[in-house]
Amino acid sequence: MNNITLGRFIPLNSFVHKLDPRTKIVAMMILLVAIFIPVGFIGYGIIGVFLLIALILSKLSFSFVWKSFKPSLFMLVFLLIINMFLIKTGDIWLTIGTFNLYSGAVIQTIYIVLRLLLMIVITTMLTATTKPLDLTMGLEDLLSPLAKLNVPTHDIAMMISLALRFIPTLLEEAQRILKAQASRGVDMESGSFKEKIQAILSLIVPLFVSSFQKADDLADAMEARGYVVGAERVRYKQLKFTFSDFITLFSVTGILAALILIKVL
Amino acid sequence: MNKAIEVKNLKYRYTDESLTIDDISFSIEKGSYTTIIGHNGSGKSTIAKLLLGLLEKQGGTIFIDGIELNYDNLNQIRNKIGIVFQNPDNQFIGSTVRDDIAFGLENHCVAREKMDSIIESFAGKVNMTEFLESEPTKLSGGQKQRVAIASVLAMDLRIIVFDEATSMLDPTGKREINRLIKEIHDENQITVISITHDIEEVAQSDNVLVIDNGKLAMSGSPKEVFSNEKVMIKMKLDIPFVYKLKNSLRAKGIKVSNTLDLERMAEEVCQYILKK
Repeated sequence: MNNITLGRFIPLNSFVHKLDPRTKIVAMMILLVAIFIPVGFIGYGIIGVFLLIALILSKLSFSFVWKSFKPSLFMLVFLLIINMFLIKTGDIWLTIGTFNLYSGAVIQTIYIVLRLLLMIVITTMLTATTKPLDLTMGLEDLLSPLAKLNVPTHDIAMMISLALRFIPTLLEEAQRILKAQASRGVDMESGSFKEKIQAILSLIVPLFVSSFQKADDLADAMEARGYVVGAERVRYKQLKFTFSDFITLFSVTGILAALILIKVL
Repeated sequence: MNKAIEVKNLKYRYTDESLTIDDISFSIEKGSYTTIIGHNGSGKSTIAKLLLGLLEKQGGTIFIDGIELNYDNLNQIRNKIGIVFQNPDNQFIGSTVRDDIAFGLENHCVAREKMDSIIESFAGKVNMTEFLESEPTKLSGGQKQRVAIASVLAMDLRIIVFDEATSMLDPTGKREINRLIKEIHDENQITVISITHDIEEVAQSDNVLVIDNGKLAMSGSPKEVFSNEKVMIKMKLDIPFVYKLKNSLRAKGIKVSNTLDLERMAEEVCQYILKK
C-alpha cells in the first residue's frame, strides 16, 4: 500500500505547498489546456522549464516524479509500436524488408510521450503538495457558483472529506479482519483462483458490515453535535489568497497566452 | 424548572418486536451525576439516543432543560445536551484533533475569530494541547475519548450523556476518563448522565437508574439500590463489596450502620461480638 506514489501527499514545507489549493487547481487546469495547444517542441519546452522550476521550488525529489511516471511506460512502448505501423507521413528513416519506419511516427510518439510526461508531472505536483482536505476545500470553493443551481457543493465536500478521514481507519480495520481470518485458517496467498476469491470474500463481507456500523455511529455523532444537512455552517478553516498565488496564476496564464500567440502568428 | 431532564411514559420499539423501552418515567436534577445501569440489551443506549432525538420516540414526553423535545426543535435541544459514545473511532469526525473540536462549533455557527481560543482552551482542559494537529490514527483510545469530551464541552452544553464512554478503553484510559468526567461535573455544574458497567462509578454517583428489559426496575441513591441485593442479582448486576458485606451481615441479624468504610464496619462487627 505504501508504494503507490500517484496521488500521495508528501508533507514538506515549500513555496508550492503553501500556495492556496484553489490556485493550484486552476493553475493545473490552465497548464493542461496549454499542453494541448499544438505548437511543437517550443511549447513543451516552455512548459517543461516552468515545471522544472516549480518542481525545484516544491522540494519534491525527481525520483518521486519518476516513480509516478513508471506505470505508464508500458503504455508508451505499446503506443510507439502502434504508431510505427499506422503513421505513414514524413521521410522514410528505416526499411526492414517490406516495413518502412516513417519520421512522422517517431515524432508523433515523442509528442505523446512528452505530453503524458508533462501531464503526470502537473497532476503529481498538485496531489503531492496539497493535503487531500485542502484539495477538497479548494474544489468546494471553486464549485461554489454551482450551489446557486442547487448543486449541494457543501454536502459533496463533506462526504469527500469524511471518506478521506476514514481511509486509514478502514485500512486498520481491514488489517484486523485479515489477522482474525488468518488465525481461523483463511489463506489469502496460496490456493486456486476460486479459493482466493473465497478468501477475499471473508475479508470483504465483515469489512462492509463494520463500515455500515461505523457510518451509522458517525451519523449519530454528527447529528448529536448539531450537524444538519444543508444548514448554514461557519467554516473554521479559511483559504488565503496571497501574493505568491497571484504570481503563480500570472505566470501560468502568461504561458497559456504565449503559446496561443505562437500558434496564431 | 429545576429538572435537567424529565421523561414521562417513554416508549420505543425498533421493529415489531416487543417494546425496547416500555413506559419509562424518570427525572434528573440539574447538576446531578446520574448513572444508568442494566444488563446488555436492556435498553440503556436506546434511552440515550432518545434523549438526544437521534431516535424518534413512539410515546411519552421528554423535557430537556424545560423544553419539550418535538423533533422540530432538535437544534435547540442539541444546544443543551450532548453525548460521548462508546467507540472512540466512530465519533472522530475531523481529520485532526483541532478540526474535530471545530466541527461542533461550525455547526453552531460560532464566530470564526472565537474558534481558535475556544478550541485551545478545551483541548487544554482535557490535556490534549500537544496533540492538536494529530490525526486520529496516531492517538490512543483514551486520547480519542478525551477529544470527544473536549468537543462536547466546547459546545457549551449543560447536560452530557456518556454512553459507556470507557468500555472500550484499557484500565489506564478508563481511570483517566472517569476522573475527567468527575472533574467536569464538579467544576462546571454540568449534569452528567453516565451509562456504565463500572460499579465503582455507580457507587460515586448521586442517583442510579436500573433498567431491566426496557423497564425502570429501580431508582434511587446508590445506597438504596445496592441494599436491594436480591433484585440486583436477579438482573445479573454486581454490587460493590462493601454493600455485599453489609447486606449479608444484616441478613444474619448483625446490625451495622450505613457506613461505606470497611474499617468502620469491621469495628462495628467487633463491638457487636464483644457485646454478645
